[in-house]
Amino acid sequence: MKNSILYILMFLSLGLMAQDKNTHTDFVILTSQFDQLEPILITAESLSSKDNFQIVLYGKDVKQITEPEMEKYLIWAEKSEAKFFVCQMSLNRLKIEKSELPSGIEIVDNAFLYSLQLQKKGYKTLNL
Amino acid sequence: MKSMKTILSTLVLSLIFITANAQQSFSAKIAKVEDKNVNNYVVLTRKVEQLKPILLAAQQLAKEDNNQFGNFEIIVCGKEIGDLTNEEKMKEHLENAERVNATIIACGFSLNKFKVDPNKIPGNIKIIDNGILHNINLQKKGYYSLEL
Repeated sequence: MKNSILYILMFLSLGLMAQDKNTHTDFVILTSQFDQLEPILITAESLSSKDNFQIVLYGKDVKQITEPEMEKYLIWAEKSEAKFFVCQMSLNRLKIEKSELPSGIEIVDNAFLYSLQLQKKGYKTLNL
Repeated sequence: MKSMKTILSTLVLSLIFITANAQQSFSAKIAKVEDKNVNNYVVLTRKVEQLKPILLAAQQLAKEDNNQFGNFEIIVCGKEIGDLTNEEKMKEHLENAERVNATIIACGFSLNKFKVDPNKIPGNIKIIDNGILHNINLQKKGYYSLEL
């Protein structure tokens, strides 16, 4: 009898574990403000159970990623397992060439499209 | 006798858990089935100039989703809402929206606040009372959402 209870409990805990595995731990944050990078990276740092943490920059502030200050954010992102992306439409508008970007930043065609596409994949999103 | 009671209550509790789990996965399945049918989107923007990248996104999503592409609603609110009355600025956006079957919506609360005459809003732009509330209601229905 004791054994059967043990089996039932084991079965239940397996069920719960399976449910846990289904929870998404992918995040995408869309921002148009350079000064929001600090709180965003603090967030990335504190989320220890993340699989993916993506930061997508768009809008006028994109020009600031070519400045030396960006380096510290890139190092911080690498340590926090976060990835930087920038919107190609914003780069075009601000006439910034791909060659001007520091390494470690990837380009997405359209930040808005990218965010919606990741939502469809189950990412949790924050649009700032 | 006491141990029998413990065993029985454990079994009852286990059954409750199992039933709850089964119900959860069943409702999750229903939600998935609904999601599989169509993908709906809502974008809230405060800048009329953002209509261009938003409508390009809609175009791409329509291609990707194909038969599963549902509604694409774009709510305009905030102080730039008066730009919606600018026929020249809006012509291209309205044509693009029609092509991809997206709906442009003006927030009535913003129109009121920034003293924009609703009669000057082009006829193919829908007016709703409160853009934020509309966005939240659509999210509750399972729409993918972007607030800019």
